[in-house]
Amino acid sequence: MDNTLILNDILGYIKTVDQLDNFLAEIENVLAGLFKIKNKSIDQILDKTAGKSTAGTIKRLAEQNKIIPSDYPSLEKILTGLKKDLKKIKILKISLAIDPSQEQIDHIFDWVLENLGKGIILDIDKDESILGGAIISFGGTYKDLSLRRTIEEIFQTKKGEIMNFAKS
Amino acid sequence: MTIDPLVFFDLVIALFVLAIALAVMAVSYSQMLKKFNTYQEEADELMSQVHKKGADLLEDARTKAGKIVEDANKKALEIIGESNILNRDSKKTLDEALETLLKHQTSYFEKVSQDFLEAYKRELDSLKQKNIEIVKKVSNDIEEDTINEVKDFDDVLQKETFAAQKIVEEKIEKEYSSAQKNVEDYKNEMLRKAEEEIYKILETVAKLTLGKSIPLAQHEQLIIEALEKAKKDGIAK
Repeated sequence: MDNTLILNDILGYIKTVDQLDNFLAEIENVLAGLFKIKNKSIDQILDKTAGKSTAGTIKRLAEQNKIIPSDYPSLEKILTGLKKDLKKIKILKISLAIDPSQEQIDHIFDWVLENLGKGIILDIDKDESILGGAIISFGGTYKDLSLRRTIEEIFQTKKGEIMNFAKS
Repeated sequence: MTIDPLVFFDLVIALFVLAIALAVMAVSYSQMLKKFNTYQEEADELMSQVHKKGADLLEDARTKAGKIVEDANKKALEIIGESNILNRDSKKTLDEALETLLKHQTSYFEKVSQDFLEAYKRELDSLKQKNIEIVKKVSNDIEEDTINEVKDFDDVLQKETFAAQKIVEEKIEKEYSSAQKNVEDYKNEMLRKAEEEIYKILETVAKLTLGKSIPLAQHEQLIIEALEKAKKDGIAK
């Protein structure tokens, strides 16, 4: 079974760690539903146990794999595999001075997708003390590119000039 | 039961012999008692004679002793009488001699006392005069010595005072220089600390001002720039 297309589709709308956690939680809910609910079609179970978007994605996955509505075990197998694939996704941790809007998250995600490639989602947290810019951790590398850091560097290297300016 | 006649005859003979022996013993005992009584009477007689003789001797001795004591008493009375007469005479003579001696000694002691008193007065006057002279001399010497000592002390004190004054001046100068240096150091240190504090404040103010003055769009731009720089620095390798 090749679910690459579906996975790419999923990764198109899962941009942050929070969204991934929600998606995984919904898959868990569907798996639990497959175990508990009997004599219902897969579509009915999906409608009951997952949100619209997630249910639609799983339905497309089932169709692509030609799973009949009563074949719970096949769907369970596909979902378990999907879970595994999703857990392998790379995470770019980024600390910001602001709470980003969805539009800003989209812009950042697009930049990551374009410049660093597919299969990367964002783990965003807020730290007002950094003032601006970002602190980025990815693949074991840490970069403090915050405004706070820039100001500190300026104040360390240009002490004389700043003091002269302050005294004048 | 019948007894053999021979045995019977022997028994009769034995009894007879025994009767004779008993009779002999009785006679002998009676004679011995008579002899003993005779000896006892003689002994009693002798004892009474001895007692009588002793009593006579004792009576005789008592009589003689009484006579001796009586004679001795008489003699003693005589001696006492004679000695009383002698005692009165001796006492009178002795009293007279003592009175003469007393008069003589009194006049002698009066004279000696007078002489001694006069000599004592003379010696005392002489000693007094000598003492006055010594005291005058000692007083003069003390005055002279004291003046000299005071003068010496004054000289030494003056010298020491000058020396001490110089030392104190030098020390004060040194301490003053040291204190001045400490004050200067402290001032510089304080200025340095104040400058650092001011600098920290400036930094904090700059951070606060810049942090609060950045619009949201500028934030996004800064974030993208940070990502660009991270990429440039090789974060995606």
